Amino acid sequence: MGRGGSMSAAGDRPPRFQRRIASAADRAEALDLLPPWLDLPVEIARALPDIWAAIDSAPIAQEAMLDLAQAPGQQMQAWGVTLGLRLGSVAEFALETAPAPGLSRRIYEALYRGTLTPMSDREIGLANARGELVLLNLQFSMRRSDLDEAYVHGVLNMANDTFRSAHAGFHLRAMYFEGGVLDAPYVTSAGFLPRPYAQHSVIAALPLQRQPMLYGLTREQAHGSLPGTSVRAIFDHHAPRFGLSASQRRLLLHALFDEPDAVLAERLGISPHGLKKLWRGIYERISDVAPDFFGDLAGDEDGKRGPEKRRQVLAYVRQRPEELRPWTS
Amino acid sequence: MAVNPMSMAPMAVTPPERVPRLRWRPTRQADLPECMPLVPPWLGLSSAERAALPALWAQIVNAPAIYSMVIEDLGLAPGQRVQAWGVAMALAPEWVARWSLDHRPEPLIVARVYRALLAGETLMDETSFGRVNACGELSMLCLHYGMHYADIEHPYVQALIAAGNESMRFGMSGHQLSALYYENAAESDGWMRAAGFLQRSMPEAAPLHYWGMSRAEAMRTIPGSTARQLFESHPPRFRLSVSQRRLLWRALFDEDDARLAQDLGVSAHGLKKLWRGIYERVSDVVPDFFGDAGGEDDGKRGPEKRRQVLAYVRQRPEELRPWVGAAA
Repeated sequence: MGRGGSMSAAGDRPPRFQRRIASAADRAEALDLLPPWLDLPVEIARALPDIWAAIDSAPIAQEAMLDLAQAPGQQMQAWGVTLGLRLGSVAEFALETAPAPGLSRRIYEALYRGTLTPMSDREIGLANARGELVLLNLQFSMRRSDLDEAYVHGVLNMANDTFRSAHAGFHLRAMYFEGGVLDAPYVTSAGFLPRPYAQHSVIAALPLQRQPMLYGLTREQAHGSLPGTSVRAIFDHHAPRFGLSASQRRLLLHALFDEPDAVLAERLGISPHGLKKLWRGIYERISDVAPDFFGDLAGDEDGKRGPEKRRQVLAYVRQRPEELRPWTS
Repeated sequence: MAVNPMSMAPMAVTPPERVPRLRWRPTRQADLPECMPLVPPWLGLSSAERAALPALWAQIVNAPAIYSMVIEDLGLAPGQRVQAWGVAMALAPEWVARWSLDHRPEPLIVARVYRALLAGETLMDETSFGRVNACGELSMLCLHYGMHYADIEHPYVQALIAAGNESMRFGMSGHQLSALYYENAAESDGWMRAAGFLQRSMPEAAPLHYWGMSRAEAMRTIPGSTARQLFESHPPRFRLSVSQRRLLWRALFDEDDARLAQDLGVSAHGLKKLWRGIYERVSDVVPDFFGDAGGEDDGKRGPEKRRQVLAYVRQRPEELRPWVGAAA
């Protein structure tokens, strides 16, 4: 694979790629993977884990892409961060026309200084229900980036899976992606189209690895093409059926990674009792909307068949990601 | 009534305007009556051959060399839910040579495959499949993907195509593929190209087009498309048995134990035994895989172990595929 490249990143160990919703530890490790084109001031680069944690309170997942065959501290192989933007910010940053280069840097600066705040669950829900949600991938970076290496192809395949699962189910107006000029082969293979910058001359003299590049896809462009790429896939949208609460959706997002209850409770910062209550609330909400959803399990009031109900819910939302997204109509 | 060129089903004037609730899953025996109208008319089969397909599919739907997924719309009544059906088949190298799949095959490849099967030729068994997979000599032929509606501009049909791509990525990945082959109607050129397949030439003008991707071509292609994704592979770590892999594959669709036991044709006790065997095998290979749950053997933490195993194999599909060869 990769024109002679080796699949293994270290010795002969085959990779054990795995992706997951980012934790605080992942955010610290992700600092190793800052791309050179991002060109952040040192004070902001240092503050990134806190900025990412603040963004994470909005319900758009950050996912870490790991190789478990590597030593601890070296396992993260790729890291991506996406932010939802209000239409006011979309206009301010000229995203739909021709923004100045360094968009992600300016947005990180604005988040750092508090002049831009992450959209709330309700704001995202409103934009989502109107089909006006705009997402910007602030950065995607890999520990290794030689596109001739088989190992890097493996990371990119995992990244494509991650991208689809993290962004599917929204009713998008557009998805933008700022990356590097050198990222163009894999960003366009995933289905993004190059977008123009204003003042391109500002970056033309920079070394290639420091030149940013803007990519994107609007809903009109997506629906004018046929499904097949990762970016086209996230524009396949349908309205949710159950109208779950923010905490219920958050639980389901984490539960999709098959984590045990103890880990789920810790991730969500709630007690085991609170977790049970959340699950019960999900089952009740679904039964209210679709009384026959659980079939024979519907009459189970004592909770003994909770694990089976959970499986039925997860089976449904795993392939119907709109249920995991905010929707305020 | 008009007939959909991509299936033999009567073509509705327009696809439904309702919100689709699509979900894909492995095909069950009980789905076959709904699947048969989705066998495309362009295959080139005679009426007698076509009439023999239900019995053939009843025999092969659970065969290890067959990949078969239905896409159902949960918003419809049971018995009318299957909206698309996709099937593929693992090929032994001699079948690839026999039909010149790596060169310029004669059109109507799928019809010849069906004829061979109807004449009693057998599919690759689990061991042969595992051997060619471990050697990197496995080829897969996509037999057909049929939908009830042909208007690919319609959002409902695009949703079916998107679901078809997802089901293919999930269902067919994890093999060490040598090549993928796909014969399809010319009307499907747009979505074949969008899925990353490369068009091949056929010896004469035909209504069918021939597509594919070889491992060498995949390795020269940057990941992003469905076809490219299927070539991502690594050797399995746990070397699970046939029945253990079958159980895990079905369990990935979050079915309950009663359904799993029914699908696999085992008793409730047999199912528990299978799960226990999986946990033991995983623990043998990676003693700390289950962390704190590893030491208990009274079965009380079975659901947590199950979640841990499923979390792993959901992202490591090579564990679900036959593999007969050197350990990873």
